[in-house]
Amino acid sequence: MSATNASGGQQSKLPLKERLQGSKIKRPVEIASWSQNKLNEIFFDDRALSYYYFKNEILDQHTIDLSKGFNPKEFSNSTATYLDNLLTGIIHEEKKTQQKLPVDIITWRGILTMLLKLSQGQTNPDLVSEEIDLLVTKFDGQIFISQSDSMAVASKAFIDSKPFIKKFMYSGFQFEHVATLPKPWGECSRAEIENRYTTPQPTDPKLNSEYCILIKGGIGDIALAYGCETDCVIGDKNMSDKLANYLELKTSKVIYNSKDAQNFEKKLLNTWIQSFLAGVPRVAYGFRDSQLHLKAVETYEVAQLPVLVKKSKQLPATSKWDGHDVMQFYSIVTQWLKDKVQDNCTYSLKFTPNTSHLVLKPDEVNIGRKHAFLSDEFVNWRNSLH
Amino acid sequence: MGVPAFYRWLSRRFPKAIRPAIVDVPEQVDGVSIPGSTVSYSSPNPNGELDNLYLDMNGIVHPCTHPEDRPAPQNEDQMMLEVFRYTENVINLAKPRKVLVMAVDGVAPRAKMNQQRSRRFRSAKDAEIAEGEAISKAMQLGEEYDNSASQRKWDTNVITPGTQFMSFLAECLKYWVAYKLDTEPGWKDLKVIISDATVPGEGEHKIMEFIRSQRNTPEYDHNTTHCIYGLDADLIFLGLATHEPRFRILREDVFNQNKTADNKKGHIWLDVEILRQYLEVELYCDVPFWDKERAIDDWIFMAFFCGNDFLPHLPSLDVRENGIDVLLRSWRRAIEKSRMDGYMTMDGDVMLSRVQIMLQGVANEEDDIFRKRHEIEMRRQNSRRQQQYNKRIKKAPQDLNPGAEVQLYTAKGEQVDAKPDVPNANGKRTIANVDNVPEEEDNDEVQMWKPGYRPRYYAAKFHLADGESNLSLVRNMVQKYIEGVCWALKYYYQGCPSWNWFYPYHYAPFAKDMAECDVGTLEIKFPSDTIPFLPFEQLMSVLPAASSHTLPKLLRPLMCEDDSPIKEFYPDNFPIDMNGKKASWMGIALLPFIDESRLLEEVRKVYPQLSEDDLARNVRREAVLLVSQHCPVAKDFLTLYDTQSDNNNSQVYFNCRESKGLAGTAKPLDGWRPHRPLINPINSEVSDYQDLTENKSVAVEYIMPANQQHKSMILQGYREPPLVLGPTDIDNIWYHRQKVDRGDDRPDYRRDQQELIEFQQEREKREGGYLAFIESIDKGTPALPNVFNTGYYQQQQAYGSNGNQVDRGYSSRDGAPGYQGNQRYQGYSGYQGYQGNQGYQGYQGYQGYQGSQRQRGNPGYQGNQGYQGANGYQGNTGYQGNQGNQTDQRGRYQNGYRGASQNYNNRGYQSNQRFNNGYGQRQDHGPEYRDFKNKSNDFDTKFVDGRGNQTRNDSRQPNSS
Repeated sequence: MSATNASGGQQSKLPLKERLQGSKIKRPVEIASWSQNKLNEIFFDDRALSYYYFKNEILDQHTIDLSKGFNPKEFSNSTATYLDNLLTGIIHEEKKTQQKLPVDIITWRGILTMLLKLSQGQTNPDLVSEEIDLLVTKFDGQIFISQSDSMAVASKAFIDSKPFIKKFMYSGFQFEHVATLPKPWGECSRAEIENRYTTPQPTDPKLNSEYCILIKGGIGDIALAYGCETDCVIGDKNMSDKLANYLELKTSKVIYNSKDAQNFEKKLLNTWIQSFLAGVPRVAYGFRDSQLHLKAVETYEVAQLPVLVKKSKQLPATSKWDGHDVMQFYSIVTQWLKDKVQDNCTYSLKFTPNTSHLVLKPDEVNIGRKHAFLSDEFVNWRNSLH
Repeated sequence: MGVPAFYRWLSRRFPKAIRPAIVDVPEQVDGVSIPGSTVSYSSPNPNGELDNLYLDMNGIVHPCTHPEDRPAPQNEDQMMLEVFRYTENVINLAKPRKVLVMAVDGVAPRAKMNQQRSRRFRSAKDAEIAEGEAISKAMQLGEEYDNSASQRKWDTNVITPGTQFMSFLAECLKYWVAYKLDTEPGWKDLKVIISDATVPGEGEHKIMEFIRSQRNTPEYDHNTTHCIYGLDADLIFLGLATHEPRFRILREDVFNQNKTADNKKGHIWLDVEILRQYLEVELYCDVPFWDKERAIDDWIFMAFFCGNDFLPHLPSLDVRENGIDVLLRSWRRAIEKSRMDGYMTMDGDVMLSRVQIMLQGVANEEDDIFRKRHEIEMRRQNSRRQQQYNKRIKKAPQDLNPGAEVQLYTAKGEQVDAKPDVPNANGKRTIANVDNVPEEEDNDEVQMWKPGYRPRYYAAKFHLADGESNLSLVRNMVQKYIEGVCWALKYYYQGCPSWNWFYPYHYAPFAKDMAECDVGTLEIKFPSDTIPFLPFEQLMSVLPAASSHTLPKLLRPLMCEDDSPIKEFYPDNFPIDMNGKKASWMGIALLPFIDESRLLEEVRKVYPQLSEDDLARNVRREAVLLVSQHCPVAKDFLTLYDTQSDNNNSQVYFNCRESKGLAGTAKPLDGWRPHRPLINPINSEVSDYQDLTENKSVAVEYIMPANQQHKSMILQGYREPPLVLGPTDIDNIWYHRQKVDRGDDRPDYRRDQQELIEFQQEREKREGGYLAFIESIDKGTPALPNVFNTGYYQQQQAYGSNGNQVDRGYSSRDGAPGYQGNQRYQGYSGYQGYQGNQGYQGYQGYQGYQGSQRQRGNPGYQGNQGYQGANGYQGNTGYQGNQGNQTDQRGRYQNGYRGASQNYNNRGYQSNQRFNNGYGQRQDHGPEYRDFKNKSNDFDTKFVDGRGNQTRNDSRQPNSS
């Protein structure tokens, strides 16, 4: 139980329409990487790195059913606890330099994406229709943001609510299985490559690995470090320009009419923010029909996505999201957090649907850790640094 | 194959694959070069930038050392200068930026040695005959025959690994490359690999090994452009077999009748990328396992039966007679009729049961092939005799000189070159008279056009009587032959499977024999631990006694002395079997096959007595890599020689990214040290090449990456170029293809109709994707656009629920709607593959080639289009009856009635495939269509037919997915 709410914590609100202009965004840099599996074991090597190999011609030969092997009872999404895995990665990295990371805010990329999406509520009401409930704390001069328990619970409940949701999530993983190889192409045999189309994804939680990277980015004069899970690389991981070969994999409904196209363009906001923050240059979309058969795969440059949307004649102008706008919001949100979050205080950062503010409120957190939701190991490590 | 005829065939069938090479010329004013201006290597290449250039040095060394159209260089030094000049010319034309590989033929596998042996023995014999004639001519004229060394022709057989000449060549090349790296600024990033005669393997296959090894490294640039220089038709297959799509072949334009101003024939590019586009059409079969890469592999495999360097070709298959079409016909039929359930080859391995099926098809045609051949020959002979006769009676009798040469003509009226043709030393035909084959009397005892030719053939060639031994011989021949094609395929795709294997007969069996032996039951295995011969062993295996001067003195007696235990391998005289052919070089030299173990035993006895110098030539080495001082990895290489400091490495591994285009391991090169002076090994007063006081370039021993497991797949990230085959081109291919499949071998007059306009079109994106959707909206065209909008036939193929093709409602026999052409063609766009529930969509919107329909008075048999099966709302695509109306070939009729069809994409009728629940789905095509949108939900919507009349399609049923 923590006594982290000494005086100093005040509630504050940030209107979603606030913007801060003129800040330059820092180019993201990868500073660490590791592999983790569903049992949350962490390995500091590239075992989980996968290599993209998929040709559209395969769709002529095989019907790729992305729901193949789906077993609702067996399917479980990985549940990370707060920032634990991220902090383990950070410890490992900081041990090399014996210094703390020179950043202001540390969190998962997904959390940042959630926050930034809110800025485009005007164009797409769906973006402001979900509840967000995060925990924020300041420790050792840095701000840490994590998902709260209630949000984790709500998310799990949502997944369990309807059977098709799990199926669709499974199909995303199946697409990753079909489109990537565990080793570079040159090392795989033909059988290994072709078996992907006919076999379901492996279910062993020890095997189901994710490759995570730690990105150092920032905007204006605020530096951030966030962890992201990356899907695969094309060719190899370029050690002299680590982000250059990453590829993000996503699935989406096939597009045969204008409405589909509009929905797709709206969803591109999420993809763009995600990839842009992590510096991932390309994204490959697998288009599947409602029977979860893969129909086409298209690759896009992440930098082109805002241009595509801008040029598009499908979405009406009022529904188009704007990347610059998002960046300006990014700038103000981070600035706001940096200003408002005080030392040794834990807050909840909430967004309630159909309101127009982000609310930062001091809040007690009872997890049984030394400092809010931070792992004890991390707290000890940082304490040992001083 | 080495057969020019194949190249000719290819250039006729796939014309757009060939284009002339543009030579960069210095700036000119009024046609005069500005003095002092040269074309710099760094300037952009007018032919497009190139990454890697591969030179098969034998294709350069031969024409430089014994050219056909000019006097040979005086001595070996001059020859080297010629080689430099020629190579420089080629390199400046291609301008590779990253890697240059100069591969000289090393010790070849035994299978190839037999061919080399046969050629060299022939050329020695021909030289002897020519000398004999010269002597007798001199005697006739009462002159002295000058037999001095200066008059004696240079023995071209020294161009074989292990000779002094080849060592000298290697030394000169190393010098020249180092010189260029030091002095030519454009070469600063170029990495040059010299694989000389001490590295085992044929030049072109060493190049293949190299490409395979690079391709498998993860840092490899998947859009690397390659170019290989050479005249050999083999290179075309090799280029295709790499499955590196950006491949080009550079060669001299030997068929070019117009020489340029300075009497040089130009060069041409053969673009494998475009050839692949052609092959895509040629080889397409509408089967679920269609895979372009594997189909190409099968094509290459079939070409082996028509001729390759390691086996005699089947008597019934000859490239000049379009033998490859015979095989293709059999293959296509087998696949389309589901007799073959997959491809014959996979990454260099052969599935013999499927080969059996293909061979059975060829076997069924063999008798006919021989008969037709004979008929054509008879006709030709008759027409020639007729012409000769006509010519004679025109001329005044006294002009007839019995000794004069009579001008001969072929049936087509072309002149036949009456000069006796002597092939050049490497046995390759001079292109000039490849088609001009002199007449000779044909006393063919086999007479393949008459029944019973098979026993006659074996009796004549193998001197056997009929009976038991015949059968076992034939079985063995078939076994060996099939081993041969498997060996050749593995050689191309994975590397030499066995250095010792060879085909131990001079003749090939018939396809009938192969089919009867059931090739599918044969077991083909190669021992895994064979090693190549050493250079002297190779020399002993391929050279005739007349060339024994190339060997160390102590080995010569083994070839020349009568009491040599292996003298029987070096006959001075040997029979030549014309085998039904006309030209002398086409005959088969019946040389005894060398018994390898005996030869090696004898030769190895002599080794301990050989001098060190001699032994230095008898080695196996690795390739040499030279880079300029500016190369990013040069510094790392220098650490290999840095014996002083702690920095010393015994090897350096580098990848494609670090070195900008090359991966491998570098080791210190024996006997080389950095920063030493660079000495020109050539003795010549007039030379552009001087000695350099300091060699700044770095040389290392180069070892390729070990992983050479080849997969016939295209690498990820390859950017497909636009399609260059226009509708007429594709038309031509389909027409010819169907002609072949029908067995119609009348001459093809459509050849002249070529797409005259430069055609280029991006491939259509696959339907379902976002960009595909945007593209189709932008074009404003229906999903099944007529062919002239997109240039490709877009025909829907429906699969019945059992996955087989549903009857398309016409049979090719009555040749109905021209040709349904290329149903594949929408493979360029959303080829939907297995569509399951769609029932039968007939073909929608095929309007392209309607010409022949008109001629047949068949108003386009389009009946099928009406029936759209259980697919709910089909809109107007359904009944396009008016398509029968040919007035508008551009198929604008497909929209039936205008008006609302504006935005009505027939594509709409694809929506059937998108049925999720089997009910008519809406297709939003913009504002005009909105009201339809609402209606279409209702299954009772009235449908309109092609005339704009509302009908009801009662046969619809909801799809049950």
